[in-house]
Amino acid sequence: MGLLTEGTPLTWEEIKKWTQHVREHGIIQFINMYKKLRDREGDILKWGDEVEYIIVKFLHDKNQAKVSLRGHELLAILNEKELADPNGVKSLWRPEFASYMIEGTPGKPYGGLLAHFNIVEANMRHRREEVSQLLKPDEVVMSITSFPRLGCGDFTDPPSKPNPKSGETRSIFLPDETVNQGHPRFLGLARNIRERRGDTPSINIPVFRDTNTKIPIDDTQTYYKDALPDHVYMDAMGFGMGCCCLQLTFQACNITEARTLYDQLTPLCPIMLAFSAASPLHRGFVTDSDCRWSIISGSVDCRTEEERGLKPLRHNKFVIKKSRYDSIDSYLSPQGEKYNDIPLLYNQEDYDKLIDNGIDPLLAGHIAHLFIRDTMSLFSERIHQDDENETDHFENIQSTNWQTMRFKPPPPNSTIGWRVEFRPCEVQITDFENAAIVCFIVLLTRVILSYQLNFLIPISKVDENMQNAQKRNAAREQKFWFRKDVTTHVSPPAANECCKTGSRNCEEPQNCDMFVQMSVNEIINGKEGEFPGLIPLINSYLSSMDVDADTHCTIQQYLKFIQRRASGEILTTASWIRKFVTEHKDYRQDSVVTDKINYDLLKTLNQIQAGELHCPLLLGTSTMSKTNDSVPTAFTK
Amino acid sequence: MANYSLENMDKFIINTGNILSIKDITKKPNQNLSEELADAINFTFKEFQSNGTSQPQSDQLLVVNRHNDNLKIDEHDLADLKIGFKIFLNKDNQASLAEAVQQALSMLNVDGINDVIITFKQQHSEDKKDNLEQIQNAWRILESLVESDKIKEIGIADVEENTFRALHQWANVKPNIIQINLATCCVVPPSLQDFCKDNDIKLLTHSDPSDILPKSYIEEIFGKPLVLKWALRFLIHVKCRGVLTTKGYLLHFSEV
Repeated sequence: MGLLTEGTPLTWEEIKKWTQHVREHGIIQFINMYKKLRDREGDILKWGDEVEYIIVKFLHDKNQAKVSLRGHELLAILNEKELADPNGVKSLWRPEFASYMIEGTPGKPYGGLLAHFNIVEANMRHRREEVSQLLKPDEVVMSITSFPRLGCGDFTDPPSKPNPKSGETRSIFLPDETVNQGHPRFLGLARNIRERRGDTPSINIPVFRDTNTKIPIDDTQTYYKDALPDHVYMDAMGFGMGCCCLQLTFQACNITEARTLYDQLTPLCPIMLAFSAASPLHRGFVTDSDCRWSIISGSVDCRTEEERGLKPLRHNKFVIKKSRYDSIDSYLSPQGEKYNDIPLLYNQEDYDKLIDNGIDPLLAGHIAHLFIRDTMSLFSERIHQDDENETDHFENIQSTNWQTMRFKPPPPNSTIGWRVEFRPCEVQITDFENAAIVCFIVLLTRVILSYQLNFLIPISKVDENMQNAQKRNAAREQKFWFRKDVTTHVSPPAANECCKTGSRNCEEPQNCDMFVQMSVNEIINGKEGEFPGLIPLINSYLSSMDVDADTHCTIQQYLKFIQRRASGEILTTASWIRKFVTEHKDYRQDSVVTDKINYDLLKTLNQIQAGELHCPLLLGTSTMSKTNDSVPTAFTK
Repeated sequence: MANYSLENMDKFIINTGNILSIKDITKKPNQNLSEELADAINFTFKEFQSNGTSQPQSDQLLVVNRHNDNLKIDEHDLADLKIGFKIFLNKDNQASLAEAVQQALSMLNVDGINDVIITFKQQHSEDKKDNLEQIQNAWRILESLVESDKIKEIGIADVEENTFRALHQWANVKPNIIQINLATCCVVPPSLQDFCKDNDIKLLTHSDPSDILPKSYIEEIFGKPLVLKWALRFLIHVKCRGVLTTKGYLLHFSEV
């Protein structure tokens, strides 16, 4: 989940004295990097995925499933191989926020050949196998977005208890033991965010109201006055950062292409969030939301009451609309500029400094906006830096702005170029599904560049889509703002005018018929005579590329799966999980996910993942790709 | 403005230029190749006729093209580009193959390209057997183009495994590529897979119909029957970036 510096972490009281220092030097470090790297050209396509996993422990005799807090222990073993042979390993392993989580990436990035799409799934399988070999007989590694009964009493292995009075997280639900203690950063982050905020995080997710659902759903209101009676209340960073996601990063050929792709993928974030929705269950309840996004957003919301607009500004400078984990606030490319229709907050002196150093207003605004956030994690050994050669302060703020997209400068003194990270997707149960989503997005970037497609809509409309994307069954039922004609870059003057004056004036259809509301199905599969559809565009692109037979077979399986899921022919992970729970024989139409339901659900999902249980309703009928460990030599000569 | 009436055109080449810049084609990704070609030809004709074009020399073939077409070759270092042709031959006509390559090279203004794949139109459903002799005649032309450094790699589409093996054995310059229909990419015979693997041959897919522009399309476009002597698709990719910059067709039509 970001920068992992070793050292002695500071408390929030200590950090406070250094926030301005980190801001000033972080900005200088970015300026120095930018000057050295802005003209970097000719980087090839390289890309990689990141999959996060939860270690689940089954207590078969008790019909229970718990989170196994062995992430750190497993990571130590997994990292041994990497240390011994950093360039030869097939996978890399990194710690995650929760002590039951682990993150895996391919050992080396994939390259610019289409044949690389055929090794993604094999590598994911390898990763899963690698962890599985280290597990105890009743443990499994699962790529599930949320653990359904997180925070429900006895849910960890070994057992642990919350410590609301004096623990670092102060949660009444989550023990500190659920936070990865292998690295001091994680508990420190949780504590510092809580202290800066002035209280524990406050997350209210509406419960799914079934016929027997009791309101209030539990007694949380006796502990928290802001807990809503018909909502599932969560009070700790772990409820959000303890969720798993699927992310991918790719390298652009230069800074201009990186800015273009950052912008072009932004309108796809809510679409892919709705498409990949996989987390309807939280803290033992069926909720009315399908996604993790708002939960993580609330779980790391370090804004004070003043910054949230609840109190007049006295100690803080701004009222800030969003958490540091949220959708992006501005486009970065010149084409995107006119769609930047929400106010961008920044410290004027930061912005001016960037401008004075030759950085254009769009990029200066973006960087200055990241720096409205204070550092939440600082190590005493790393305070004073050589701003010419070190970038910790920049990375510190950059890596704790968890947004839908991330624009990444090349690391200093490396062979790596400008990169863009795509971050909205929820992780899927099987490697097949995850590989399909990853390949779909990377293929889409190639189609955007080849056909010079334009997906831009006002950023306020993307935000509106983000909210809708999380609703129950959004992939099937919601409509999303999307650009009507993706082949035009020149927009009609009336539309331009309307975008400049803000989205509220865009309700007039004659002004803004350049973006319309479409379903996920229409966006992905197309709408006869009106919208070409992302999959047909990808297929058209592929027909003009040199694709080897096995890779094309694999890609076809992935695209068919995506088509089916978008059309509603098969269910999203979230809908499938909902269906399983609400049809379970023990379910009492009361929105409660009991221990037994949780156990059966996870056991079933694990069987589907392992291929022991055929599940056409979730995966469709053809899930056998031709994925392989390596690219044929004829293509690498 | 020179106005070319189709009635007095009995022999000409259509150069669609880079059709990636024709938004109306991009917007219709579900079209099959024949529909895409018909659109591209109509668009090219329309643009050609609306621009003043000088009459070609009497001994030269008329080339119908689009003005201000951007092939995008100049935007990149030539070494970073991969240029490939696929040539759709009508019958055993070695002259057609040589002419197609020559026209395309001079149109793109490059000395050589990366690869050429050839394919023969299947005339009737009953003569599905590959004609090895026909292939060998064409192959000799390709070999000479490889020997003169105009092409680096050569290949063939839609032939039976036995024909391909026979060609491979017979050829001086061995095929580097075999192209199969996308519909069969999940059921490639293991023996062909192994043969390709053992000989470092690229087993690629395509989604082209065997008759890329049926008679009915030709008549609808031109209002009269013409013969498509050969067609050539040029594709330009940026190496290692998976980006397609240029896609277009050259098509040679003549009177029946």
